[in-house]
Amino acid sequence: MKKVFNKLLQLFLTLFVISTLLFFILRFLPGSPFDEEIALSPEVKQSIEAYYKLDQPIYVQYLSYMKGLLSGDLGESYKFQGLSVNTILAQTLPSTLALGLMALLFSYFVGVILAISSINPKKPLWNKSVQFFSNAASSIPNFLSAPLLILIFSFWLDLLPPALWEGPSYYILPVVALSLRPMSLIIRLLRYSGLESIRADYVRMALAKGVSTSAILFKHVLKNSLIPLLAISGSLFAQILSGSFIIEQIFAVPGLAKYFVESVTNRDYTLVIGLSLVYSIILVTANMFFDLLVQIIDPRIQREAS
Amino acid sequence: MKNKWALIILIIIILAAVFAPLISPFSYEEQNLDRVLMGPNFINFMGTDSLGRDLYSRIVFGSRVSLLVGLFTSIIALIIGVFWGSVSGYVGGRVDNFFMRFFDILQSVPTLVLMILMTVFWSRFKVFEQAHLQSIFEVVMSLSIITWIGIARVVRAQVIEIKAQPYIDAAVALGVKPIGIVLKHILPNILGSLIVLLSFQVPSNIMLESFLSFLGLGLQPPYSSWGVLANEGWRSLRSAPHLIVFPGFVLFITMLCLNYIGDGLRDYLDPKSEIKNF
Repeated sequence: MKKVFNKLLQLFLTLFVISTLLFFILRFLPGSPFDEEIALSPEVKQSIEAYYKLDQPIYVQYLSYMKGLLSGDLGESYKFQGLSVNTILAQTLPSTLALGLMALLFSYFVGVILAISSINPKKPLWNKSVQFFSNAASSIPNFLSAPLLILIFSFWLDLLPPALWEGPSYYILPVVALSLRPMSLIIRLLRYSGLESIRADYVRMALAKGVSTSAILFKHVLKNSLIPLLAISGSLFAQILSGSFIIEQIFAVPGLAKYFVESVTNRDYTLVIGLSLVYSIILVTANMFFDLLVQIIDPRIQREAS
Repeated sequence: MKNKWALIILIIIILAAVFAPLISPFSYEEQNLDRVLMGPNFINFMGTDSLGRDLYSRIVFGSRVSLLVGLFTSIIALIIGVFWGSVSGYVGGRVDNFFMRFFDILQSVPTLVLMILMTVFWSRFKVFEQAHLQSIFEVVMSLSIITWIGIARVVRAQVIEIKAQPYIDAAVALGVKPIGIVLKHILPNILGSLIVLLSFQVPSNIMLESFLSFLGLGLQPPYSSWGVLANEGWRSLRSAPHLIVFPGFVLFITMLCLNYIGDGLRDYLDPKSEIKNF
């Protein structure tokens, strides 16, 4: 319980520092977000800046920004008129989260099956193919894998819709495309630790007792590699969030990434700050969750703590 | 065996980038409006884009930007990372604590988000008059600044490990200054893993650059890098799939070769290394 509390405290500190940094990086720079707006007379510009409180001293702006954050209000978008950042989030966050979580689950599911079955020393050819697959999957850029999937499964075979986000059949291609890179990580890690534990004495013992190879692989080898596998979930999730930028663009998924990129090109700084903060919150929470999960599962860590 | 092939293909790609004007039949910005959106044929053997520019020439010229940015930013990241990593690892204490907190904070923002924020930051500093040089400057600064952190962490861990060795104590006892110890006794010992680190940083930076350009936040057309081409290409996926498939495929092959070479280097130079190609 105390550990959870400590983690939470650390989480809030991190988020506080990030939000402060974000604010000062984007606001302390010279120029105003409305500098490049076409045909703005000085008076209009002044009144717009007054509306968004950009004419006030920086510490006043910072205090009101922090006050807003604490009450869960991320401010109002500069360029999407009348839309608050919270409204945009409410529309886009669910699909980004759903895409990310499905990709994480899918990459674990396929990655574990491929890796464990390839450790089997009786299947050298399968072993080689899985190894090549994981190398290829880690090298393929998202903007190649996604169009290839669309070409094959939507245009040639006409099985799945090529874009949008309207139902289960729409989820398949983006999830697969997004999960390739994390999948290759899972395969590498699991093969690395699996190939070590398959030489362990207890595996030889089990073999001698006549336990079947697949039972050994899934019961003993997988069980021993579970902890390192879970421990990298946080960095996998970070990678998935980065990858979702490309995937959401190509599959026209109505997620955070589209607004984020647009807000950057529009110099819509409240939106940039708000969305970056949300991305960090997702990542930090995911990291904390997986950390705690590992600590609960791994009996060794628990003993050290107590 | 595989590594040998990877090396050969990579050398071909690098040579193509170096001798781009000699081996490409057209220039990267030459438009030919009579020949738009053509598939692969005898004159443009990778096809043409919507303005009739030769895709093969654009890919060859684009590889210059992609490869140079990847290599250059990795080297900068390595220099900063080694400096900060060895200071943090060797001095320890408060300096080290500060570095680790800093690292924690940066790690809680997704890499691409951080990259994009950095380009926003650097875009406010107009260093070059020409737009393409400015955008390359932004990408290079952002990439170098973000990627040194990971290198510094590995260097720090290794410096701490080596610092505990008896010969370091001996050197301290003989009165060697800290700078001398780091430069003469510690760095030579981790040289192997530094090379391995660099070999994994280059492909990951090439990939990040292409992601940025793909999102329209890096280099802009008519200038070309693999990411710029992908950005132009994917919108016409149904009518002209070659526009995304060829640049993507060239990037894929380069990544594959670099990763194989990195794996080979690691097995050769640093067999017990903790550096995994994540």
